[in-house]
Amino acid sequence: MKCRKCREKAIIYMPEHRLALCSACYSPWFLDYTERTIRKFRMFSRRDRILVAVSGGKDSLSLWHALNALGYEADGFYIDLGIAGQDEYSEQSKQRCQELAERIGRRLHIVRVAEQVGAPIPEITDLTARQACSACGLIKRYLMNRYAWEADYDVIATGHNLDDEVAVLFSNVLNWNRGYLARQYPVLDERAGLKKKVKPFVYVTEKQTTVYALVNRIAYVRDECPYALGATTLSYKAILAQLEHHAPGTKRRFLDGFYQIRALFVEPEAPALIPCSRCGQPTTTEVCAYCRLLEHVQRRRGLLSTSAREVGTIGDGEPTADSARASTSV
Amino acid sequence: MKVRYGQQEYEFTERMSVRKLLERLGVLPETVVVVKNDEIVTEDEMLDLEDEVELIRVVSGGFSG
Repeated sequence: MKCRKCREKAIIYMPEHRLALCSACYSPWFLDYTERTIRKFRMFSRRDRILVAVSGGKDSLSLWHALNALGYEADGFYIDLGIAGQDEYSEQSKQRCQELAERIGRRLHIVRVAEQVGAPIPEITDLTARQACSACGLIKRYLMNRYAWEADYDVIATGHNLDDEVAVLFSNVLNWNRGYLARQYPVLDERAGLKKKVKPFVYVTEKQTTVYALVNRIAYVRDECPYALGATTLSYKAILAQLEHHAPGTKRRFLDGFYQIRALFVEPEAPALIPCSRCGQPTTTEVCAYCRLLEHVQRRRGLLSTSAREVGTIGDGEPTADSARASTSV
Repeated sequence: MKVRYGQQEYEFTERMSVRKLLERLGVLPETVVVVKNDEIVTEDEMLDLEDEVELIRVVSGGFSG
C-alpha cells in the first residue's frame, strides 16, 4: 500500500478517511487534524496556558507532544495514584511523563494522591465502598480542577479519544444517563469554579494516537491499569470495534449525530453549583464528594476523630500522617 | 515467523499477509498496530518466515486520560 501524499510505503490505512499514509506524512496529517478539531470547537488559542492531564499512556503523552509541536503553551499534570501492581504501574507511568517533559522542555507538575487524600488508590478502594475507577475519577477531576486554579492555567486538556468518547456515549445511551449525556461534549466552558475542559483528540482513534506515539518515539506505559482490566468499557469497545470494522465511520457518525441533539438532554433546572463549605471547590451539595471521601478515608485510617480537616492547597504539600513529602514539580 | 501479542507468543510456519495473520488470531485491525522487524506495516504486507512480528494493542480501558 502506498502513501496517498508521496507514494512511499504506507504505515497506516484509515478506512474511515479512505487514507493511507507513510511514516513521514503521518505526523503532519495527525497534527493538522488535531488543530482543526481545536479550532472547530474553539478549545483554546496560543495565548492560553494549557494544563495537560498526563497518565503515562499513549493518548495523554501524544496529546502533550502534539500540542507543543503545534506551538501551544502546554504543561503536564501527573497524578500519582500510588498503584504498584506487577510492574510498579504508577512509578513507571510517572517516569514516562518525566521523560517526555524533559524531551519537550515543558514543566510537569506531580501530585500524589497519598499526600492529598491520606492513602493511595488501592487503599482508598479498600477503605470505601467505591470502585477503584470511580474513586480514581473523582479524585482526578477534583485535583485537576483545583490545581488548574491554583497554578493559574486557562484550560485543562485530556487525552480522551474517539474510541473513549463513543464507548462512554454507548454506555450512557444504554443506561439513559441523561445527566451524563448533557455534559458529554469536547468542550466544557468555565463556569462557577470549574475550569474549562477540552478533548482535542475527540476525533482521533486509539490506533491513530498509538501510531503517533510510535512514529515520534514517545515512550509510554503499554500495560493497562490493573484496575481497568475487565472494565465494562473494554467490552463496549470490543462491540464498537466490530461495528466500525464492518462499516467504517460508524463511530464518528454516532458521536457527531449525538452532538447535534445533545441539547435535548440538558435539564432546564439543573442543580446550581455552590462552593464546598470545606474546600471552596464547586459542588451541588454543601460538602463536595471529594471532601466526603477524604473524611471517610481519614476516619477509617484513624487520622481523624471528630471533624474533617481543612483542605489545604495542593502546591504546599499539605501534610498528612501518611507522608511528609511535598508535592513536587520538575 | 514469530508473533508476539501481549504476553502471548505464536510461531507460524507459513508465509501470509498481515490481514491473514489477524484473521487467524481473531484480531480486528482497528485494535492493534502491527510491527514487522521494528517497522509499522499495513494489512497488505506479506510476512515471511524469518520475520519477527509484534501486535501492539491500542485499546485502553480507562476514561481518565
